Amino acid sequence: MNIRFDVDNFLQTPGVVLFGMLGVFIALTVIYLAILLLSRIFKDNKKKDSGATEK
Amino acid sequence: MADIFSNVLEIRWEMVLMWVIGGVLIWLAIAKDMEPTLLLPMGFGAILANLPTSGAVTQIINGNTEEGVLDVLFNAGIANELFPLLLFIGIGAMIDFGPLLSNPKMLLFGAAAQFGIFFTFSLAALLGFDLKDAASIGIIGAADGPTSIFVANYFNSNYIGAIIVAAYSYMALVPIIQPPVIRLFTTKKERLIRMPYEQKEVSATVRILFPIVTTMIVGILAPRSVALVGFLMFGNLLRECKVLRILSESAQKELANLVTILLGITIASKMRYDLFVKVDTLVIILLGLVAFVFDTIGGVLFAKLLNLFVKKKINPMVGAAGISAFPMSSRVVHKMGLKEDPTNFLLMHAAGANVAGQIASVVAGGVMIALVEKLI
Repeated sequence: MNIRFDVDNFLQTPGVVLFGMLGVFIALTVIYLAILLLSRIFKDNKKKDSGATEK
Repeated sequence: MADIFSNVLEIRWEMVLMWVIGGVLIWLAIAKDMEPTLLLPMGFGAILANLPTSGAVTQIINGNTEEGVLDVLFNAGIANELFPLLLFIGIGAMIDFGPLLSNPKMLLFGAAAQFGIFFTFSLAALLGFDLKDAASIGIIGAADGPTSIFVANYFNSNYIGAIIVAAYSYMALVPIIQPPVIRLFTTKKERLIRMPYEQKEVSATVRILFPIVTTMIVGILAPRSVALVGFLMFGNLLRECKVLRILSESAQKELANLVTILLGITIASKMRYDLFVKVDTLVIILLGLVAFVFDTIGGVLFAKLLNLFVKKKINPMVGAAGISAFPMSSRVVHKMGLKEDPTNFLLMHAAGANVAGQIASVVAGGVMIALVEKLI
């Protein structure tokens, strides 16, 4: 391959950059929300459990 | 006698250059302790594959194709993506996602620090690489060997050897690459920001559900990367379920070690002089560096952006740990923090961002495949 500036090739990439980064952020944000949700649900259960033990 | 020495006449200068490159990789592995588990087998394999009429790689002799063992291994383990996936089971079993689960917002830094992948993809396209090769080169910025192999192999890139050498070499060079970039994009005041670590209890149930839920989310949103994420998370589930300790230990040790041995030497089948000794290889190695630099910049700038909106300021160096090179990057950030202020411990925050980078890089690989596939 000869290294050369290929502007046409380059012009196909901004969409991939934009939607790529967006896609990664969306996926990780959903995982973030899922962790928050899981932590909330199972933290509550733990409290109940520990409360029951104390009684 | 003539028959015995005829092979000597087949030696070309490009082969000698590959022996030197192989020797340098072995030297880096042994003398500098740089990713020795991969660089050493790759270095030896580079020599093995570049001996004249080497029987280790496929040759056409007198019109007959004689299959070499390195190509057999490549077809059996890399062409079908088996080795990187098996290695991911081991990596998943090794990773403690605890720091991330106790501070999940670190996931966002993992996302931001994938910027180098996409930036380098654009740059490679501008330099005339076709989109499949550009995507494969960009993924060096995943800072994650199995993901680089997976994507480069998916696109059947001609440059898989150079890409993997670059990916593993730069992972080992993270302690040299990241600090100057971080210093360039942060002020001393920012580097001194303290982030007290609040130890939060993560329940065993959350630890068990995390790999399952993450696999499902990534599988639905970025299905191309579900195999990688799935195997990574399967390994982590083996670790966290606490009832398969022997399997978890086997995945971390025997499985990961065996696959690593085979992976390193098998990659060498793509380090033959006719595929490797090209100007393109040098350009790819330089682009790999660009990818790591822009990953770091992406993470740091994202942390600075967040600081405009949050009350509890984030040390922007933590953003740089969002690249997937685990655990080197978190150690680099921790050490830099200690250098600025010996009482500022950033390790747990950086470790959270670092393991987030592991997930984010795999997702980025899947997203890249999905988006580029539509263009070609």
